Amino acid sequence: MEWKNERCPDGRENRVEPAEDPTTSAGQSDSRDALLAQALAHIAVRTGDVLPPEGFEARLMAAAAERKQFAPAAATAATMERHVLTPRRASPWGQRWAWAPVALAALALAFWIGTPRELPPADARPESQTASVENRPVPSVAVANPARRDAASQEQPLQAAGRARPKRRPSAVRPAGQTEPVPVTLAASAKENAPQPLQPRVSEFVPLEYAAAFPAGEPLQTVRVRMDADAFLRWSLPGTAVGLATQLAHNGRVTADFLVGDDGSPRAIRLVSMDE
Amino acid sequence: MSWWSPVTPKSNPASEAAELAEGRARESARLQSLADGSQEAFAAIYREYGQRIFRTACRHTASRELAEEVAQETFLFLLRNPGKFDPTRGELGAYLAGIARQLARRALERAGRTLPMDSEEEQFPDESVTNALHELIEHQQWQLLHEAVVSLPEPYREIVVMHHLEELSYEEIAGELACPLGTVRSRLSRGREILARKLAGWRLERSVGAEQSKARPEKGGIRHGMEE
Repeated sequence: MEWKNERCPDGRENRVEPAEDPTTSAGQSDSRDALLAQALAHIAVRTGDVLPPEGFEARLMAAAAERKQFAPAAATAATMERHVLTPRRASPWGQRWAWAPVALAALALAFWIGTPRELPPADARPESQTASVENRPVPSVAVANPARRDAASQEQPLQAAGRARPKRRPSAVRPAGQTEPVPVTLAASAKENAPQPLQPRVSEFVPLEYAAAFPAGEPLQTVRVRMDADAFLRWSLPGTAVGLATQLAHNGRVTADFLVGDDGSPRAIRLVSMDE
Repeated sequence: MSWWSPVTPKSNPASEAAELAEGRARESARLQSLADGSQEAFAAIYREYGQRIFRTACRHTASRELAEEVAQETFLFLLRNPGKFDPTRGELGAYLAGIARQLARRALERAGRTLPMDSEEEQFPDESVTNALHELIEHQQWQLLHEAVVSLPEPYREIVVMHHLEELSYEEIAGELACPLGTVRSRLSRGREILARKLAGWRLERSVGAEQSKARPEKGGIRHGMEE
């Protein structure tokens, strides 16, 4: 190829390629490019309607599950992450969450056992219990007369079966105005001495977004959960509930009650304050 | 205008902008759900963009097997890194297509199907190149042509596929590859030249093979030539 040598103003040699003859190579080049574009257009059309092979979506979903990108199955129910509580659907993914109702049921049972229950009203309780509580007898720890001690000890029922109490030395100290020990029952004494359970303050139940899709009147269970405040705020809740959760958060955690249906997914949430 | 005349809907810029904003908000919500671990969001994204990504992978690899691998890796990449997508820079489909192109390049390199940059270039007369193209179109050897495109050296393969098969404009290609418009033009022109030479070379090899099969010993040796 011939080069036309020119010289720049600064003295350096500059090589400039001359323009090609438009009647020869340019015309052939255009023809070649047009043919090539025509052929490539056929490929574009041919590949335009190509579809993924059958079963590709299922394989993709299985590959995604193998890489454990979604919530792991070993997530504890106590954390109550949102993805755990999403309603189950008829898809291969749903099989991974089949354990969720079982875990929630176990959690509910644990709370049911551990939660202190209120006694029924006084007039509904048996006579023996009400009398012993109302009298508020002072428990005696001493017997003034050693001769009476054996008799008194026989009078006192064994407070706790199978639990041996150490024998105490007789003491001369006696509550004023009382001459003889009064037998007390363990139930009354324990009830009196036990600390009063905290009465938590609770807010109103806030229905979740998808709760309207479930039939009304279905059996529900209340599950109390202590969870991270951040996780709680991920639920779509009204602004009042969010503000309340922010106030009640203690060490970054809040206590909440979930109304849980038979399928294991919650329908509503309320906040619980355990401060008082 | 009579009542039977066709009515073409007029585009409303305001409604288009609203639709665009709605689409971006929907994509952002899906990606947020995906980051939270929602498999439903992942499935929805696949259903919307799966066909497009598979098509892009097919065009860049000329192989259904490689395309399947590339498309799957594209969606798994999004699954691993949902936060890497920036909705202000474009739509999610274009972002996924860009990932598919990069993965296709790596898959082709692993398979050894691309030519190195400094591959020896044979010179063929333009007439030979034109005849090769005519023959290819006449016999509809599209798969052969597609494989020739895919085996182009890397800077040219991608641009030739994007322009001629994905039908993107120069500006769109320059935006996707973050290179100047002039670079796109020059690489496309150069890529077409290499492709034409490659096709002419293949035609020469075929014609030589055909001559060898027809050759008779009594006529003395093998006849070489590009013309039939």
